[in-house]
Amino acid sequence: MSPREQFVARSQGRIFVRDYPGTGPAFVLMHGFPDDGRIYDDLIPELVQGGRRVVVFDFLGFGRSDKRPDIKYSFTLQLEDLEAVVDALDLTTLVPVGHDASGPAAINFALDHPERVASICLLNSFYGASPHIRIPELITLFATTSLKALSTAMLSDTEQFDWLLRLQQSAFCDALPKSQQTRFLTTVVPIMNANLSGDHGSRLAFSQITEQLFPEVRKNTARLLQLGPLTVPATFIWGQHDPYLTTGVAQDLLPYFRSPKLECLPAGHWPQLDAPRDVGRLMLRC
Amino acid sequence: MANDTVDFSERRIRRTQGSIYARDYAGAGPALVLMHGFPDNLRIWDDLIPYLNVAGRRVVTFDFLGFGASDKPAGATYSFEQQLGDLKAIADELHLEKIVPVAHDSSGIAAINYALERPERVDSVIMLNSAYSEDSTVLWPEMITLFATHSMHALAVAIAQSPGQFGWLLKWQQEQFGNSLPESQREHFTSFIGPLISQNFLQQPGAGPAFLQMAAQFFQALERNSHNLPLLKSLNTTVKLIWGKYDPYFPLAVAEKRRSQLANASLTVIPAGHWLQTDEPGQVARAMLS
Repeated sequence: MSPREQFVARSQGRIFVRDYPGTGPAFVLMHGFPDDGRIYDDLIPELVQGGRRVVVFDFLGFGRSDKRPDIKYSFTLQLEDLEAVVDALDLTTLVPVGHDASGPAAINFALDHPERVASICLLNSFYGASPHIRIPELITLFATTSLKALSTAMLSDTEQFDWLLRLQQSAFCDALPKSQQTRFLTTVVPIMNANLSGDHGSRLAFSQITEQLFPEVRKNTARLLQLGPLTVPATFIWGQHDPYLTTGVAQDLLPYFRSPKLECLPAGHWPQLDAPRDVGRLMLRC
Repeated sequence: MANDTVDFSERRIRRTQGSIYARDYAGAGPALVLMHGFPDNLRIWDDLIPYLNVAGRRVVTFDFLGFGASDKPAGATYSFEQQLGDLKAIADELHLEKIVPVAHDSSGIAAINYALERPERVDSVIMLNSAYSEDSTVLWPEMITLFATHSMHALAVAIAQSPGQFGWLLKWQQEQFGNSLPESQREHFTSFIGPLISQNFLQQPGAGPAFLQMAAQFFQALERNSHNLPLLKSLNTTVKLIWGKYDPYFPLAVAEKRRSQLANASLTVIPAGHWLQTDEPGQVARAMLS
């Protein structure tokens, strides 16, 4: 089962896309930060075996997509990346799947193009302000504008940044049941490290987008009530062992949707890697 | 002028959680009571004191509980109320009927709140680059913000517990202060204030617990003090603001705003940084004594 790999060109760079054939509506899988489309590698076979078309891509600045230093990375750019992929692949209807920081792209796409969305699927993600939300410390550091000088210094000092990354990874890992920790260390950690460690990679996109986190959440909060008239079904599949985007975050968001479903799994922040079979089974009902 | 040429008597003042260390330099009252911020200690006044002493003034300086040579009892609870209590204890135990509280950095909070609580026992207030109330235009030092922001508590604790990380942060923060100084002041800053702060943490027991607790309460204390702003307008006490203009974190705008919040305040601008009393001690002394 090999995907058709292609690059979708935008004026800001080329987006790396993998397209697995199957019947529509296609699942369009989106990653958060700081990772890339490979966080879905264990889940994709489950969806493909279910006969569904699956599209997965790396946002500009991440993974195998272009990482031009001269463009401005933003949540808006990510929403446009999704639109560009959907248009280039001519997907008339789709299921946008948001994880982590791509929740806003999934939901805002549905609000902007309700006629093209068969249903929305969110995995441990966020959208607007939520009483239960707890942002990972690494993200908070880069999202706090009064700490910009310090976070910039830590980002440009490899030793400092690696220390921060390891600390944050331990916080996610420690919250997992023992049985899932090795899996976390051999799947999520290498993807994150490949994206961020070393002297290039996604650091620029990561720091620029993270800096816009709080304004983006505020902007989305103002759109929460627009979700009411949306008839698109929404499925929330949530790992219960996420110490930051807890099931409380899903429960805060749920009432804004007309027909929401919440499925909780014994998994962490990356349920698609911790429990791919369960996530696949639940997604195929979307 | 070096401070070791000036005589002082040493005192230890008992407080409920431990004793605080004070130095009393003889002279005419009202005594100037010099206070430090965090994370430093009374030695930040060493370069200035000889100038005040030569002018014949009594000077008292002390380390707040948890800092410098004051006690750092295991399990102590540190707070801005406790720091205000330290200042009251100094004035009471040394029988200082009237004082001039002199604030630097975070001790601006104790200085103004002392004047509000005991207006009859304050001759005037002097504030060097220091904090009092909330100010959305201020960029607080990143190290303070990191330790003051509750959503980053786990990260701050991890940094504090890792000597390598904490050392890196301390050095980086010192560079931010140092880089904004004119070339001529940089060397003294680097060789004097830098080690003074590092030593404050390295000595055992060190100022780490007091720093962590005080920083964690910093934003709430500023917010609380914002409610006192209407009271400042009716405070008759003269307040002299003496401000180093090369401070990247407490810029002149802070001093100008504070002057407008006070009933009776003046502002003297010094071509110096955050620790102006060590960058330009002569000019600061002149402004204090004028």
